[in-house]
Amino acid sequence: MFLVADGVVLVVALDRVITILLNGLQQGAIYVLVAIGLSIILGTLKFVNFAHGALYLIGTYAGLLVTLQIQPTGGRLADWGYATLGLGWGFLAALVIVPVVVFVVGLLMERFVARPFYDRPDTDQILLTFGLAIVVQEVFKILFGGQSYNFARPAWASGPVHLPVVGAFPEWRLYVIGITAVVVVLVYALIEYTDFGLVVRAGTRDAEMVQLLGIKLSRPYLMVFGVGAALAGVAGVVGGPLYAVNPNIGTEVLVPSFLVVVIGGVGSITGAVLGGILIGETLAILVAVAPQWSQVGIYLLAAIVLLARPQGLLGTEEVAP
Amino acid sequence: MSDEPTETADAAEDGGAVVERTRRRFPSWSRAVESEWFVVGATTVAVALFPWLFARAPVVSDLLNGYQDLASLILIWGIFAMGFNLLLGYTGLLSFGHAAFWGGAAYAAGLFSTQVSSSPLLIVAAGTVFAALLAWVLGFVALRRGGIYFAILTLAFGQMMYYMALSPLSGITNGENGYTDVEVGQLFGSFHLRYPVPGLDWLLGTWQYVFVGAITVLCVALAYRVLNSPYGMVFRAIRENEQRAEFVGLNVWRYKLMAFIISGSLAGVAGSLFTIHGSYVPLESLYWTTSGEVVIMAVLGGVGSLFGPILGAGLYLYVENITSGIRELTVPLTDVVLLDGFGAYWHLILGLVFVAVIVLFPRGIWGLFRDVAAGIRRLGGGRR
Amino acid sequence: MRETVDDDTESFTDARAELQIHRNSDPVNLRLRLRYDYAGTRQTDSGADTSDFDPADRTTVSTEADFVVNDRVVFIGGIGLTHADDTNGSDCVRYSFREVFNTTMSAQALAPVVTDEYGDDLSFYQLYADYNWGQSQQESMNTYFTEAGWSQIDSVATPLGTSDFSSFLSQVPRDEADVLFLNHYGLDGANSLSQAIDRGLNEDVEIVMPLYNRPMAQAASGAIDGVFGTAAWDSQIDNEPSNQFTQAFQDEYDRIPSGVAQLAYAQTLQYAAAVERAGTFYPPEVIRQLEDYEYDNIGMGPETMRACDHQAHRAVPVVRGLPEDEQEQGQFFEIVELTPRDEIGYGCDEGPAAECDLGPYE
Repeated sequence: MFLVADGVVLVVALDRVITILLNGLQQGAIYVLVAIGLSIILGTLKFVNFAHGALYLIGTYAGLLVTLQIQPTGGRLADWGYATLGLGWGFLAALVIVPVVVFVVGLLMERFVARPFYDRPDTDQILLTFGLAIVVQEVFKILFGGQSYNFARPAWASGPVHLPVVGAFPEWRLYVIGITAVVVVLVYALIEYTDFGLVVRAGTRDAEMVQLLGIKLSRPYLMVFGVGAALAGVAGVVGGPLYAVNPNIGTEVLVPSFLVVVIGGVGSITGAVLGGILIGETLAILVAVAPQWSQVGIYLLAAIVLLARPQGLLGTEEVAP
Repeated sequence: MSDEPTETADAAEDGGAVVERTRRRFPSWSRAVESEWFVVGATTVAVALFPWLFARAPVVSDLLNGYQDLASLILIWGIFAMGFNLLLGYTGLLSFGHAAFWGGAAYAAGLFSTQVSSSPLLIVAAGTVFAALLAWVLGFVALRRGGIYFAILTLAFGQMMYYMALSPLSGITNGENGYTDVEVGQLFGSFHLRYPVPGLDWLLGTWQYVFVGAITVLCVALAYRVLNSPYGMVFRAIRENEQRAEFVGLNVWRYKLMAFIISGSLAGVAGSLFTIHGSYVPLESLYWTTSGEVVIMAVLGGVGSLFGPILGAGLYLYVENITSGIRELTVPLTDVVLLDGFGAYWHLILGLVFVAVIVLFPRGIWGLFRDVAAGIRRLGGGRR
Repeated sequence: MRETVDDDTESFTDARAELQIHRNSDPVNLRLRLRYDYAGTRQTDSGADTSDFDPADRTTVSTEADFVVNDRVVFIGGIGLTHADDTNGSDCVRYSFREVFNTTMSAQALAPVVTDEYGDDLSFYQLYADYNWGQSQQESMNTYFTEAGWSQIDSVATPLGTSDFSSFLSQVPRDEADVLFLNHYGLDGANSLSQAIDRGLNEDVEIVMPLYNRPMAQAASGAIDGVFGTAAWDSQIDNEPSNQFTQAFQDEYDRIPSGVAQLAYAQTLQYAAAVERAGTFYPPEVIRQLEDYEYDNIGMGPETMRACDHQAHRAVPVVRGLPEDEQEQGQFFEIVELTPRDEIGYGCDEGPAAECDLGPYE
């Protein structure tokens, strides 16, 4: 395969290209899961959730504690004498339990945090959820300590798998891509083909009209928030084993996820998928050709998209003025 | 101050419009309080007394446990928060990328000090000019979008600057180590900033504090003047109702850009002073948490008032530097321990207070003070 | 002195810890401050006691040189970033001492052990964190392993702020390279090592982490199994002073001390002893007492704090990660060798020391 850089034709091996694309896909997958939640909450409820990263954080720690038994070495829990924590039920249990837990957290958040602020300006919503994100992060830091925990990949998916052409690839990362794909399809079906989804989509277009027609939106809104939160929970469980787990991972995933939302277009699930893949691939390709620019690149990409197409690549309309 | 809070009281706060103040009980005093000379004079006195009260006065300083260097730092962050608030509090634009101006100016000031001149005044001028230009460019782009997009765009640009300084530009910025080659010369060629002020060191401490304090007063005066000019009126009009301002025939976008540039410039003044203060530019000065910190300071103190954010900056830094060192929280005057390892909770406590302020007192602690003061005055029969 | 020395993993994600011994206005109160910096996240947090500490700045000072000179405090430190050669080479200052070894010494200690284990004439590939320490470490590894007869295929910089190293790791030529050096530290190291194992790189190449610390080992867990590296100190070092220290620390804090804790205690004692010898806290006098002083560091044997570059010349523990089922609270490594100081180091006119100009005492 040929790549042209600075007028020089480079011959690049096919396996390298596929490996890079696969890396990008996997890096984007976590952002996609987080971004879909952010995006449907923003699109439907017009609520800006800077605490969405905190839901990811809760998901990861919950996943860690359901999957494994850990020995806390710092933080208050260790001081209080908890030598081991966690259920140790394995990863599949976590994949079922954690989204439910975070779903409930999401419901509580909608009811007690978001709902009182629906009529307040955007800026107040941002400030409130930003404050909440700090509080959650600090609570985890105090309880579990600031250090990193190892979230071991499940035994059946650790180590490499040998793919044709590409060669050895981390098996877990294939699962990440696979689980993300399944979850995305489920959410897409939920929004596109169910009555709930119909109300949600109608609410996104024109909430006032829907209410005039006598449909109560408070319950669908609650559900949207819950589903969005549960997705962040899934992302936390699936993404947890990729990196060492510490209280900062929530904010670290939030900022790129916001970029994904604005690139893809608010309220659009396919947009979030496209945006996530774009960001992941940009990272992976830049790392291969100009590593120093990889982080700068994703922000630049977001800025360019936002200026050229303010509503995002697949967004239909602007949500905020 | 106002003896009768009205619907417009909020708009007329501090830097507020004198127009509202016709039904005054004591017009001479009230007008005096609102006058520029009074504001600048009172600020000067407060800035002059602050380090003494904070670090050296009997009883008070022992209670506060403050120290000279923190006093300078509070003023520096105070300028930053005040500048940030010109944007959030007066035009309603929430920027999550002000670290770009603070940190950008800090780097510009640092580089200027080694490459061109080590005169403190020129260093501040250089950093400020850089921040103003940067604000003009970024504002030009970011202000095309409002609301949440503005917040995310400014955040994105800020992070872009951070990663630029971290990697591609590390040859200039010294990357993750931060810029260490800062050279700070003498003020007007004769005052060494680290030396005490002869005869007045009990009050002011070092020349550095005098320098920072003088610039703080200048910035307050400038901000006051801007807010009370027709420009300031337009800013508030935009915050109240952007559409209406547009219909009246104002070019809202241009006013927003101007507010953004003024705000960025003040952040630049503060960032340059920060470089002089520490003789060092940490890479973190560009990180988005710095933007987050200034947001917290401004909101805690009270957006929409001139002095609220400065109060917020003081409170934040105080908790961060002094309260965080308290090992045990005890019941006053006893040895009963309420909370062990109290210092570790400082960030959580700030977060909780921040959330409480947004929910309960959107006008911040300064606004709360004013409401309480107004309430007391009313109880005391202010309208007799 | 108060009970402020603590390995305080609480706020310790990784990367670098700096120890600072500060002379307060009240000379009786010696305060020791541990400053932790989360390299992965770019945040600072003061870990241990800071109540009476007058932090001249609240910023992260990584090249501590300017900071130390400005504030006229004696600084004895640390690990992590200050493991870089420049700290006591071109960036050295009169007011700063370094107890821990540097990247040159790590590489010198590793080369014989690693080449002995894996064989001669091998080729290695390096990834390094793109900042002062990482650059210094990869340079040292290249120098001393080339000297030992190995050859470098390539050395690739990974920008800071990277937590997903998969793209870099996928470029490692696994058919060609025999050994992979991961010059990452702390959280970055934990991530890059785990991801390398996950990618199955250990099936084709041997991995070496030149510098370990405990939080990193903890976060990487089973991934460190069999991986060689160096560590500041480890409780596994089995001799009288080392065991005594471990016991005393455990009695007080209920946990096994980390290398950082040992450094903190040892250096506080060194400073206190120097003050006693000098009979004053006046820094220039204390500095003269520290220079060229011979002492026994807790469990590390005899050491010299060299006058020419303020670098301690000392033994370097070469360690190897334990498999996950043998890891316990606070025990992650086996000591392969405590390389004595005579086998490593360099003269005052060689290596980093040649570039060092300490500056005046006052």
